Amino acid sequence: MSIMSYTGGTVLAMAGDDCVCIASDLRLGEQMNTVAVDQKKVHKMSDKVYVGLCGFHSDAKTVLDKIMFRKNLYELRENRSIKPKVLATIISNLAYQHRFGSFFTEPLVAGLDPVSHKPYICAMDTIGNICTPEDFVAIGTGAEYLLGVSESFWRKGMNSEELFEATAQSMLSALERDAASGWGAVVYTITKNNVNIRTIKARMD
Amino acid sequence: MGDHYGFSLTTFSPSGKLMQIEYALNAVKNGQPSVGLKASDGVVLATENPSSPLYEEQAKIEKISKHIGCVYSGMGPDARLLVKRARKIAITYEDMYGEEISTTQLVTRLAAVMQEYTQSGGVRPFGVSLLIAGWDVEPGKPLLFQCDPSGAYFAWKATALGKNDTNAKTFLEKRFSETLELDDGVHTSLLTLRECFDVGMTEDNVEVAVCNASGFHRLTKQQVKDHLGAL
Amino acid sequence: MWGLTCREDERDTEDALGETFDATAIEAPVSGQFTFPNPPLGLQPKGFVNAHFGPDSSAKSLQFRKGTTTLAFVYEPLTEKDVGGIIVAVDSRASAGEYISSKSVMKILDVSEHMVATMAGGAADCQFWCRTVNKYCNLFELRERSTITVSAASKYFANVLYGYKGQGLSVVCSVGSGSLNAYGILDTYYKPKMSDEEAMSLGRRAIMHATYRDAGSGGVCNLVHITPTKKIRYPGVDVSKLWYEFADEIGRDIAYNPRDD
Repeated sequence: MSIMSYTGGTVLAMAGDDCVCIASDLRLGEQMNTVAVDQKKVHKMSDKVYVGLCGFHSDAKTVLDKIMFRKNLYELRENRSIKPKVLATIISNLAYQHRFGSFFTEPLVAGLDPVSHKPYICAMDTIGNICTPEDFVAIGTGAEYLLGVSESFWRKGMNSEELFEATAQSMLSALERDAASGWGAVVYTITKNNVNIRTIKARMD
Repeated sequence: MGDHYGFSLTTFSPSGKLMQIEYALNAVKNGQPSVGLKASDGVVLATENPSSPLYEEQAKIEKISKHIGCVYSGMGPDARLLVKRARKIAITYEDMYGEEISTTQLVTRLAAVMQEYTQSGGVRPFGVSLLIAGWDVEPGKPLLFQCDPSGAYFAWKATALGKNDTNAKTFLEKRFSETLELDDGVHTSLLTLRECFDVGMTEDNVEVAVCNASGFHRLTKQQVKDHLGAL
Repeated sequence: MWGLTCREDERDTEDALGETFDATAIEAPVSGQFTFPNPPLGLQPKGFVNAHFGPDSSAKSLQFRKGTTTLAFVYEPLTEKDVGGIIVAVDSRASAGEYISSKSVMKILDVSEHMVATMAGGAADCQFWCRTVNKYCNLFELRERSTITVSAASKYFANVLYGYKGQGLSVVCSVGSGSLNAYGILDTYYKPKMSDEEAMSLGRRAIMHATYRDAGSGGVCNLVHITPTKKIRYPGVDVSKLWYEFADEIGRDIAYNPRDD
């Protein structure tokens, strides 16, 4: 079993009309053994910017600390809240700094631009190659299933409620087929005015 | 602090002044005049750049990044080093964050370099003051800064450096208006520059650049000539 | 001899079949005989199986199915209304690595009229060899005019498998990866005397707890009750539903309020 699926976990982000959704499962495992069922993989960076970190959990925590450090320093220096695209570039550079001994974690960034409110979603590999599709991105052990299933749930121009529904349903479907993820999920719906956080009940096996 | 080793030559006088910095400012005061002016939709930089039939022209106004440029009064070689550093700061920032450096960020970082040269061993302060003009794409506004050898920097609506700068500033105080548009801004800048000139202004001894939403551009000789003709 | 020939009870037979590769390849299947041609060009069966179906195989769908929870226990009836016997309970997940390839596998296989086997490990191996044992049991019972004992059938099974030792077969007729968790429940709640109801819910609960902790197990809990007279199969019960019922029963707060950090 690869180190990338040692602890398991999946994150999905979808973009809609002036809104984005980011969802993660809640499982933390040690290979096939489930250790915790309350481990979300989505973290707040600023009002409307979130990152998801999948892969080896220990590395994900270290990388999260490093991201927070750089992001806080940026916001203090520039006296403004960070844009999702800038955060993605910071993380990409951080990841590539470790090109020859990388962290075993894949980062995902989702959020709205603090000024223009334009949705932004992206995911990258362990050494920082950013990919920025306009519809949805997924990382983690369930990424393949998510990408397949999201293909049928995603529609152009969804409002925040429709987007939540598509994200939640995609997540639940993917969790049915991924043994390393599941045991519940959280969905963050980020709109111009607020961030709505909902837990969704999932299968507990 | 820098990687210089030794004792700083810039030391306090008993009265609490750093004489080396005062002398550096004198070098600026004796330099060719420069004017900077913020219009409502852009910034103007103008300077004297005398030509001679014997030597090739060397630009004094330099572009730093897409929306930032600068001009100096004082010692040319010192300015060129600072421009080189400024460009490096700008491009490094762009690599790091994926977007152009904001004018304020560039100014603070460049000022830090200038400050470093007032406190490091084996070096002297820069013999230049810079006028840095920029357009911040977000939220879309013009900016004008002055950067001194001490590392101090100031935000201006309009200002002048170099020879006769007091006259020029008095002139600007009378003629400057915040509602000026870029073309009128160029006009006012040239009028201000004329205050400092001992000889007649021609497209061969005046250099002008503007900075607006479309970026930082130096005016061509023909454009300068047209503006001078309208004075 | 090319390949191996499997027959009911004797494998070392001078068979005309399988002498050349071509002969086996074009031979129509003959009832009662089953031949396994070896991999070509002198490849070793175990190496071949490992390379193509093992954990390092590049094709996920070819990896042997692993990860299972199965259990069985004997109990005495508590009251006269109860019948007692054996409870056999299993999950229904088939997985290859972290990929769940099926959510509804029947892991309790019939071996004879009154016997079942649970499977873990390679599904194809388990199914095939249970069929073989089943065939042997039927023949035995016809020949001997008495039912075969469980230990006799097991002995036969073991002997057949031993003949294939070192060739990469994956048959585990019991337990599975989630069994440690199931043992925990069984050890805590098992009593020698139980009502049928109690015994079945104990079986299901042990499977449910195992599927909760073990990522390789899940789906529904299939259950067979073997009584002194017959074998009763019960329809599958969703283990996730069982978990939520359990959480409700012990008054566990299942609400998860994520912090926004």
